[in-house]
Amino acid sequence: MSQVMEMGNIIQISSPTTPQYSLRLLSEVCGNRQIHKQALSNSTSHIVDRARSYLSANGTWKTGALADSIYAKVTETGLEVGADARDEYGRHYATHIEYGFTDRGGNFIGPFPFLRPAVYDTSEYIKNSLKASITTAYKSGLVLGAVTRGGNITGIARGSTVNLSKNVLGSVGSPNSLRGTWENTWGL
Amino acid sequence: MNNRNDLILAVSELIAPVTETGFGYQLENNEYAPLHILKNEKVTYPEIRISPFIKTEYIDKYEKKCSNNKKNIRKIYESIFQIDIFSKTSIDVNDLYDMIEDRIYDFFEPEIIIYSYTPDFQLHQDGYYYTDTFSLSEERVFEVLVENGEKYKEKLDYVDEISNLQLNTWYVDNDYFYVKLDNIKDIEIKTIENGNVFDDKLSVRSKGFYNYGFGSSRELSLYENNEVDRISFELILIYGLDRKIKEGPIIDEINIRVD
Repeated sequence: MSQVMEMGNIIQISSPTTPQYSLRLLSEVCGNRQIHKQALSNSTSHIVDRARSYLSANGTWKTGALADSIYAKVTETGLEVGADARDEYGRHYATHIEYGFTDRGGNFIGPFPFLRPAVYDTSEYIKNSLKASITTAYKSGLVLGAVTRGGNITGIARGSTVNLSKNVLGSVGSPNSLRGTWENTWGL
Repeated sequence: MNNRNDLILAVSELIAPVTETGFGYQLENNEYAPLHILKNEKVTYPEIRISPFIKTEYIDKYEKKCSNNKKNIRKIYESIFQIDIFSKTSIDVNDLYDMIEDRIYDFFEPEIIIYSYTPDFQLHQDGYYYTDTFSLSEERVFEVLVENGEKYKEKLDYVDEISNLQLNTWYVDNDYFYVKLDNIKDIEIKTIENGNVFDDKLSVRSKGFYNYGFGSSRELSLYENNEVDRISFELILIYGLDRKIKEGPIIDEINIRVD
């Protein structure tokens, strides 16, 4: 049970500081689809650039049509990367370049991967981008929403966020009770 | 493994057994599925094809003791190999995929039994010991160690001919296990029960592999001739490459001259 007690000028939140509560709060922020989307959309141009650089490096760049057709977009389930160039007969050929194929003479033309290495390269970038988005969310008002939903401190004004979140978040995860010292800011 | 070519050779053996013509599998319908590495080569069905180094990433490095007075630098990498299986029947393609998967599991997850000295060893007139307890038909010996009075046990070298047997080496054939060393009672023999080792009797760990993973397999028959089935998957390997250095002389005695 969460309890919010007013002790003169100091607000003390007793039980929400348990590790379980901190984890729940963290998972709410981490699972925020908006934050995920923001992090992924920051990575789309990066991943396309990497794929193009691999194409030019492995010598398959002739007309530039394949490179121009590389795209990365944020979908409901994650990030989709692809290339939808077509040959003169209207057939896709990106897969043939990526995985290799057997030509009409029966020779195996080896793969020239450009999408997979770009995805592998960018995975670390996406991870860091996600981390940065979560950190930003912590520092901004987004986290207050999470605290409010999970921590029963709706009574505290939601509009002004900066000082409150800074103070609250400075203590989240601590086994001791939270002690906010924002009395001057909030006039409590 | 010292370089990338050693690695490709090791991965080839990891994927397919050694045969008279290279690497490949003998299928139940008496067809032979060879393993190919080269690009732009005529495809024969059935066959397995490796496309090495789809992606390579340097991870770390550390110093590894390689003799009494030398240290080697081992660099750790993670590489992705694309493996393609082609055949004119989907049965062969699936069989080959299962065989490759089983073979890699055998290498990385073997059951090892460690034996100490047994009284079955007999002394040959040429100075080596032999026993039928650990012959190839009975057991698969892959490592022989001996106590050397230090913290770690000394690993004996494997030789591929009995005529090459010298002090601190071992050899095994279908009938006997042979070893030549000073004190036979200090011996320790590692055998594999359910698993596999390389042709030079090295385990995956001794060869330099640390870990492995399978990427998702893809059905790419659509991109081939209509009569051909193709499965493509990625093999992810974490391995170490040693910098090749010459061993220096072992210094037993140092004379300091004071004039």
